[in-house]
Amino acid sequence: MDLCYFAVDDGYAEAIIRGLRAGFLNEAQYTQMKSCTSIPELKSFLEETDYQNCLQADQPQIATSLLRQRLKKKLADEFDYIEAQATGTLSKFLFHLRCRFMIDNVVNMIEGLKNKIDIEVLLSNIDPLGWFPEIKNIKVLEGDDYANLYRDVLIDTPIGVYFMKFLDESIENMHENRTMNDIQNLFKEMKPEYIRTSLKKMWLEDFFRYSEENLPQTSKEGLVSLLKFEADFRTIQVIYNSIGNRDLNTVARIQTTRKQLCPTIGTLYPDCERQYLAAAQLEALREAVKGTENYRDLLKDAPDPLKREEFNVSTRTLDDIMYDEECRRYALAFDGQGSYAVFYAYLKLKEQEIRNIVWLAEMISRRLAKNHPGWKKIIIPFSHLRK
Amino acid sequence: MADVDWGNPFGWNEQQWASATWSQRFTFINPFFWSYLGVGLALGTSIIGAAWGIFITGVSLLGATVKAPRIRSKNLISVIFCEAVAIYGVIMAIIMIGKINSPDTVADIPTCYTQILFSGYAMFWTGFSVGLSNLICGVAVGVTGSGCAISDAQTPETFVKILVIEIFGSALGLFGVIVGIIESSNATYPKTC
Repeated sequence: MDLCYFAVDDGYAEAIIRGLRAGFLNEAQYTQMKSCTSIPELKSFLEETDYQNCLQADQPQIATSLLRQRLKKKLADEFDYIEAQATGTLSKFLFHLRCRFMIDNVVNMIEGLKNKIDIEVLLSNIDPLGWFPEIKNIKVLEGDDYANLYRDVLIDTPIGVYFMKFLDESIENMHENRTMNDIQNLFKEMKPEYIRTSLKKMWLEDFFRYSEENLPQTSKEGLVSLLKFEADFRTIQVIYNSIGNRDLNTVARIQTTRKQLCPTIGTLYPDCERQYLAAAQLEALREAVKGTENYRDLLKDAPDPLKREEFNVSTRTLDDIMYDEECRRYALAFDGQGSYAVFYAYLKLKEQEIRNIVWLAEMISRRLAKNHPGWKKIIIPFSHLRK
Repeated sequence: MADVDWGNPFGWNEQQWASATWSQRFTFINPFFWSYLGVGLALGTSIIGAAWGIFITGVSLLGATVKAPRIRSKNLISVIFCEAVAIYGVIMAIIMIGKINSPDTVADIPTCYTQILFSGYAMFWTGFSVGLSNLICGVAVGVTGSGCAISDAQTPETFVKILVIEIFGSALGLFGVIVGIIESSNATYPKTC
């Protein structure tokens, strides 16, 4: 029944996304890009595709980081346009989508400030999708007072609620006789990846709860399955990356870290939780997930994380396998009308495409031989759909 | 026009009305009320269906045309199919209005009343059948039309195939009109009775 009245509020935005979907690069275009021999050639090729105007103002020998910024700016402009056309439920939904990029930006800024990088440089490198007005207020306060930074500045940002939860959780995990110094040291030493993964986990859970409660039926079905899948992937990734990690040397520490980083939504959550939290090797992880969906097949080919030093460019790592499966599922989200899942899927697939183009630009600028295995590392969105 | 109160044809007084059963009260609802309500239903609900269909398909057409301007003219067919539904409603309403009239001379009230009541009910339910089928037809064509616009923007070959579905959908409104014409053909409002 959604189809009868979906178009009233959200039909235009959805139809724009469908039009934009036709602008994705296909396999023939990727082959042409791979055969480019220099960056100016790649740039002129991109100007004939959907990316026509965003690279016009730059010189032919464009730097890869600037290329990435321009492509992301185009995506951000498209997204801004769609958000401007959206009303009601859809506009809240799209705002939620942006929060993920805001988390990335804030963590990058904090990390950059810790390493004493100039704030102007940091501001010019932020992801334009995650821009919000308060981002200029993030400066390191005197005396490396990170706890106060989190408490005073970041609370005002749209993602402040996630920082609150993060603060509460981290402080709770410390021992009883904690002092202010302990808390300061905790934040000074905490790795940015840890912060980022924690925050994104909280964002995912929040987003899931929002989808389950507020969205119309068709959107809910599509999104719930995509988000559960993403949560399962994050869980598997966290466990995989923490196997054999030298920093986590006690079992208790491994368990608490994993528990803090694995999302509590998804098909793996309550059933296999005890098993995967205790997995100390890849085999144990495979055992834990074997009953669920196709994760057993996915993990079958994954390389052993304990032999991480032997990985090279041609190994098909877990990340590659997972990106592949993700792209397949996001492409399937386009197969229905009247659902918000297309907005989410479009964002993810466009990001994948930008990653592909930047990777190819890197490969071209290093002038690697054409039989280098890195050329095969790109994952083309919608590739499994074309004949 | 004859000087008869069609809401109270037997001239009952207050006491007789007070002792009337509910069934009798229902029967004595003015037949012309039923007739014109039928006309309103036929027209109004058909147009609701057509409007619903047009706004659903129009929105998707607008959005999809932004990135794929070539679909613009072809997909106006979906809007035309929805519009046809409104035209069916107008045609039926005009036919029905043409049939309805009040008798000039009334000789025998009971037979006259019976005939007019029969025609009134026929008009009402004609209007209801035509209106309801056109309402659903309009929505169906609209939803299909919006899917048509979107998939045409993505893959041009799908347009003609989806158009076939729309044609089947618009046949629903036609069924309503055909049945409505037959149903209302028996309704006669005699000039003298």
